[in-house]
Amino acid sequence: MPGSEVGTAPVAAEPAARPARGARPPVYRQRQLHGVAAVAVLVVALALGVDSAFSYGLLHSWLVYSIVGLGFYLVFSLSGQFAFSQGAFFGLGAYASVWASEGRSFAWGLAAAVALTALVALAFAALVVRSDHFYFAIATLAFSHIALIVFRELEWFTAPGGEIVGIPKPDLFGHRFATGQDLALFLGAFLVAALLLTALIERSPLRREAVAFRDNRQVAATVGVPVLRLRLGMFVLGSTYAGVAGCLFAHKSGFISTESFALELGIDIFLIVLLGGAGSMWGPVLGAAFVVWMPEQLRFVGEYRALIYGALLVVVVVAFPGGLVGLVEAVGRWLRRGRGPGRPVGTGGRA
Amino acid sequence: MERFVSLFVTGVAQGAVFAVVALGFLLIYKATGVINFAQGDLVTLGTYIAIWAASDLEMPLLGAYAVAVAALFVVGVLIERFAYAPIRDRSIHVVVISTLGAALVIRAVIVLWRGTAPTRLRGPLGFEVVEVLGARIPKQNLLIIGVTAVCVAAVWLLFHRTQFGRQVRALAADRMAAQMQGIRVARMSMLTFGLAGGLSALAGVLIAPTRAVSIDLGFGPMLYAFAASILGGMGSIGGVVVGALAIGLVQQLGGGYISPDYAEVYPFVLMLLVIALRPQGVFGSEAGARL
Repeated sequence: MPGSEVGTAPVAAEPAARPARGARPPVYRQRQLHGVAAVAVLVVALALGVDSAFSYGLLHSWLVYSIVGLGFYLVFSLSGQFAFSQGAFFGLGAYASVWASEGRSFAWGLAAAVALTALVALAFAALVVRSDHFYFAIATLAFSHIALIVFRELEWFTAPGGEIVGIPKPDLFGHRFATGQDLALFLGAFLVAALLLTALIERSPLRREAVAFRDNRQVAATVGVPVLRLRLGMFVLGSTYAGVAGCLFAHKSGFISTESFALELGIDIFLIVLLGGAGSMWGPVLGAAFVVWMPEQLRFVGEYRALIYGALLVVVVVAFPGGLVGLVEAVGRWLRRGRGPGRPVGTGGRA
Repeated sequence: MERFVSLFVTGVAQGAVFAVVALGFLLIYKATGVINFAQGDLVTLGTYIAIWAASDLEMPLLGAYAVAVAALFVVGVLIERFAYAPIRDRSIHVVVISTLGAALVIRAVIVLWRGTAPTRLRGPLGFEVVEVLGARIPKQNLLIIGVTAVCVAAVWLLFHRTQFGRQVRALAADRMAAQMQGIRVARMSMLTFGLAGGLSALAGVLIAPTRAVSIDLGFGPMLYAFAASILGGMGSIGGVVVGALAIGLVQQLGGGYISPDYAEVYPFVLMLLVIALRPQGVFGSEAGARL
């Protein structure tokens, strides 16, 4: 597993630090890399354990949605930029990949998706860099609207009407990941890589700076946070996650149309991050699982699904800002408090 | 020449509808400092209520319009109570998500109630046209322009000649100081959300006769009203109205003379340029700096 290699790196680099273990930054105590390893094990177990084509479909969707959710986590949760553009970059990645990989290997498509989404995201962010909160939100909303029209009209890049069918499954070094199991492992590797990169950001000063920028832009600038670089960097990185996820989505589904990237996708991305818990990098992974699996469990609600999603969005932001991760943490705190009679009751729960 | 006149009048009429929606944004923004992302779906809901009152209840058309405006006032107040009031002190992001959730609920309710098949709303003038300089202009377009002019004048009077308007302007100038002077923030925000709801319904019944009515009816006007607000700098009524007319004209003339495929794109390109070059808006002063 790539997770364990990186996990041992900081310890090996500073053997002298062992006695003073408490001196390591407290963020390391969150064991993000253990979490990444756990997700990797879970993905492999699911890929080997699941057997029906239907379940593989859900598994693939979960993996792809987790990646696009992680990107939105970087843009929205960490650096506080309210971007409606995540769905548009997802679409851009999908079309770029199909365009570049036609008659060639999947790697070309992936490279094109990454390069194009990163370039467009950088150009867009640089264009609207002077806007704040509402203006930025509206600009990204307009950007997604423009993107949908371009997907529909720019036929040499997409296809007439933006509809493409028969996209081949991804391949690497001559091997085509065509079975459900192969594809699940392939997509899982991308999720683990995305989680790993996110975990490294979480453990680096970047997270602190991003949060400072999110909570108070003026103060962050005053204390020397490189505000411009941070803002552009996080937006470009998060949008590139979306581009990669879009590329994977196109090749796993084999079919894309502009409908795939319309308003519903944007709403799903919001739900993934907010429902999972905007305060944690594990939120999008949990939220994606919810958004993918829950509709199948709730088939009986049928046409009321959209109503429930909308109401859920309001209830979650109003009443449970921590999302599912917040719920899990609250239960954990409650359990610890009940178990430790020797500890002072008041501080035990809060620590 | 006919072509230009025809495109011009259509552009002004479309812009006028965007101006009505944008006035709703402006009212709420001045009184509360937030933007209601459910506004577009309020436009759609108002239109469907008018269709329901006109066809199912067989009310006269103007009566149906009045029912829609009154109902949307109530819906606006409800949105304020459920999606804004509980989180007034939380971050702007939370408010945006919450109004977005309200928008989803409204959309879902419309689909459950009226289905997804496109429908129509009659205009009071039917499909009559007048000839102006050789161009055939639908009378509905002239009606839209006239009603909007009255509406803009009414909102201007409300802002500058009433106690309510003075309080809204006080809140916009300095929220804290206004609160300490005893302005009832909760009542003001309820009233402005209600008025914005009523304006949305008005915009809906004005624009609906010019196109097919579907669940996405209000989305475009909302985006263009955003663009108009940004062009106008979110400050003054005049700025917003001029911004909205500019958006309508750019859309129609761009679509008519450059390429109709990208007609919807031109206004947003203009808006992005304004954000890039002059974020405070073309007519804005320091008002936009708070955004």
